[in-house]
Formats: sequence, structure tokens, C-alpha cells
Amino acid sequence: MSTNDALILLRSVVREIAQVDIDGLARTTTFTELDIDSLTVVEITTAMEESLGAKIPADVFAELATIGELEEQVVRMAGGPEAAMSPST
Amino acid sequence: MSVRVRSPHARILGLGDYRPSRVVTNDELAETIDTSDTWIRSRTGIGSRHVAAPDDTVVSMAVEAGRKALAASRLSADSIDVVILATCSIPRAIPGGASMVAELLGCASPAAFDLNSACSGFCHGLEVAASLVCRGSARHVLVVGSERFTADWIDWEDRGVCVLFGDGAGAATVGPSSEPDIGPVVWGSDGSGARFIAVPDGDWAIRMDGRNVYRWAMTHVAPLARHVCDEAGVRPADLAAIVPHQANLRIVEAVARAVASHGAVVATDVVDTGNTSAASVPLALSRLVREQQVSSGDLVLLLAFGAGLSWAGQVVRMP
Ligand SMILES: CC(C)(COP(=O)(O)OP(=O)(O)OC[C@H]1O[C@@H](n2cnc3c(N)ncnc32)[C@H](O)[C@@H]1OP(=O)(O)O)[C@@H](O)C(=O)NCCC(=O)NCCS
Repeated sequence: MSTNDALILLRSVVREIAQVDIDGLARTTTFTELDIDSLTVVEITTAMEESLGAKIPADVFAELATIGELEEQVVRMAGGPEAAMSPST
Repeated sequence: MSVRVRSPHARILGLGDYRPSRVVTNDELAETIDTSDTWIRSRTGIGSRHVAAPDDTVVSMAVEAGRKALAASRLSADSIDVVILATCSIPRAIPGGASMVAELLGCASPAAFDLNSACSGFCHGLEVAASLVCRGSARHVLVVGSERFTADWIDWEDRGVCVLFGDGAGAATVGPSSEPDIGPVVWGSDGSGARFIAVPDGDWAIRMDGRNVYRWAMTHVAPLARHVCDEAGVRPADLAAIVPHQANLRIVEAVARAVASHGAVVATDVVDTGNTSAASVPLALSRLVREQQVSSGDLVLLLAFGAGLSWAGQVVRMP
């Protein structure tokens, strides 16, 4: 999947699971600000991981707090499982 | 070499439980820590938990639950050959608690040992008990899950952990059977997640990476529920009840969804018991019996998971 398609998929997954539209939001928007609790973040990332066949590393996952950080992981995963395992910058 | 008389199969003979009388609500917790009933309920489903009194110890609670299980199975204490105490919250490693439980129940010098597989301890114990019975090493085994976290292992200022746990004990007696009434166990471990739930070096209280535990439970444990049914050769539609480890209502619901059995009752004891680790499955199961939500002969799916990481589950037939 292209990174663009992956980001489009992310938007629809977030809309479906959390009933939130992230289109056009600042990348620094936190899940807390959107009233998305971290357990719902799990549901979102799990759906993305299943679609992209890759995994967000546990350490990165424990700290995931903003839309931008989530998008960054989705882009990594769309680039293949190896890219997704490399440390986040 | 000679072998003992074996039993072809094993079954649960009776159940018992013990819940400390003191109930602590979320609102009560919110008086001393920065939390709220809404926050706790929305994340975990927990509304209140039982908290041990000073004289409710891991051993004393196990004895109370064990006594009830013996009575329910009409067994005398001296017919118990092995006592297995599943616990991870006993305050001292030496001596283990199982021999004291046996002594206080009046068992006649049975083999007795503690089993620490944290929250999945009771389901591990059930498989060990069934194996002992089938090998002829024991005729009757008492398996007890008993935990007292709140006094010794919980930092009441760590709001990400202290709101989750409660105290209590649940027990089952296991004995011989002509039918396979304790199904094949599905169990395992993943030490790469050992740090997710742990008392870190130099610390004294349980600390948790709640997010990663939740992620693991949702993605790895919940799907195992179906596998437990398959191993037992039981169709989800044949289950009368589903008893997942009572850690978090959202995980309980995910396990139930994975099984997709429309008729089965789903245990939700977590709502007013919190997470009681090794005691959680037998507490929830005893409650289903008491509330007549399951009856004798019913098939029930058990699936527990927790620190280790570890998991174990099986289908059992109700006594
Ligand atoms: C523990 C659990 C409820 C925490 O929920 P969460 O949404 O992941 O919470 P987080 O740790 O991400 O914290 C989110 C925020 O809520 C806060 N918070 C944590 N506990 C809180 C509480 N009891 N009340 C109010 N706020 C709390 C955190 O401090 C954090 O705030 P911050 O972002 O300002 O620092 C949840 O992760 C969980 O249930 N995990 C599974 C645990 C489990 O089942 N363990 C046992 C397995 S056997």
C-alpha cells in the first residue's frame, strides 16, 4: 500500500472506531484533546497493523500521544515491516 | 517400575469463594487520589473492589474459599492429596502458603505447593491438578487462587495501577472422572513482555505499562478463546458461559466477541470485584453458580492471562 493510501485508510479507521475526523487537524493534536482514550488508540493501531501487516514497536507504542506520531508510524508501516521496527525519530 | 492406578479423566467437583467484606468504590478512591468514577469505569468497567481487612491474608482467604469448595464437593479435608495455592501476592517467598492452607483446613499432610503464574495461575493449577489425577499422583486436589494486593503490593499513589486491583480467593476441588470434563489446556508465555507488569528492581509495588498490556490482551489473548474451544472440540454455541480473567471489562468483551457464542453468559465480576489476579476466574465462576447462571453439566470456557506474560485456558464442565 502506498503511504498516501495508508494515511487515507488511517482517517477512515479513526472515523469508524473513534468517531473523530482527523482530516486537516494539526499534527500536534493529542488523543487526549480529541477525547480518544489510549485503549481506543489500541483499537485503531491494531486495525492499521492488521491492514499493513506490520507492527508498531512496544516502546514507541507506550509513548504514542499525537496524531502526527500515529501518522508517522503508519507511514513507516506502509514502507514495510523493517521500516516500522526502526526507532522513531 | 510400577505405576499408580490412573484415572482416565478429571473433573471439577466443587467450587468456593471468599470476598473480603470491605467494599471500596471508585468515588471513595477519588477522595484521596486524582481520579474519577467516570474515568475508571470508561477505561476498565470497574465500579468497586473488595479490600482485605488486616486479618484477611492470602492464606486465610484461601482457607475460607477452600472450605466452601470442600463442602460443595462433599469431600472431607483429609481426602485431599494435593493442595495447589496459585498466588503472586503472598508477602514472603518462604515458606510458601500452600502447606499452611492445608494445615488450617485439616488436610492429612498432603503434598502442597504454591504456583506463581500471576493472573493465569488458577487455570495453570487446574491443568496441573487434572494431570496429577490422571497420572494417579492424587485422587483429590484442591486448587486455590488467593490474592491480597492492596496491603503489600499496591502503591496507592500510582493511579494507573491502584484503581485496578482487589483482593479475594476462589477455589476448586478436582477429582477423577470417566469423562473428559476438564478440556485440553491452551497455555503459553511470552517473556519479551515480562516488564509490562512487574515489580521493578529496587521497587516494592506493581508497576504496569497498561497500554502494552491492553494491546497484548486484545491482539494475542482474545483470539485464543476460539482456539480453546477448538482444542476441546466444543462449538461456541455449546458453551453456557465464558469466564475470561477479570482484568478489564473491555478485554472481557473482546474475549467474548472472539468466541462469538450468542447464547453464553459472559462473566463480568470485574465490575464490583476489580482484578483479583489468580483469584479472578474462580471468583467469577463461583458467582455464576451462586446466581444460577450456570448449572450442573454446563460447559464453561475459562481463559486467564497476565504477568509473565502468561496465559492458560480450558473448557470445563460444571459440577
Ligand atoms: C491501566 C489502564 C486503565 C490505563 O488506561 P490508559 O488510557 O492506557 O491510561 P494511560 O496510562 O495512557 O494514561 C492516560 C492518562 O490518564 C491518566 N490516568 C491514569 N490512571 C488514571 C486514573 N486512575 N484516573 C485518572 N486518570 C488516570 C494518566 O496519568 C494519563 O494522563 P497524562 O496523559 O496526563 O499523563 C489501561 O491501560 C488498562 O486497563 N490496561 C490493561 C491493564 C490490565 O488489564 N492489566 C492486568 C492484566 S492481568
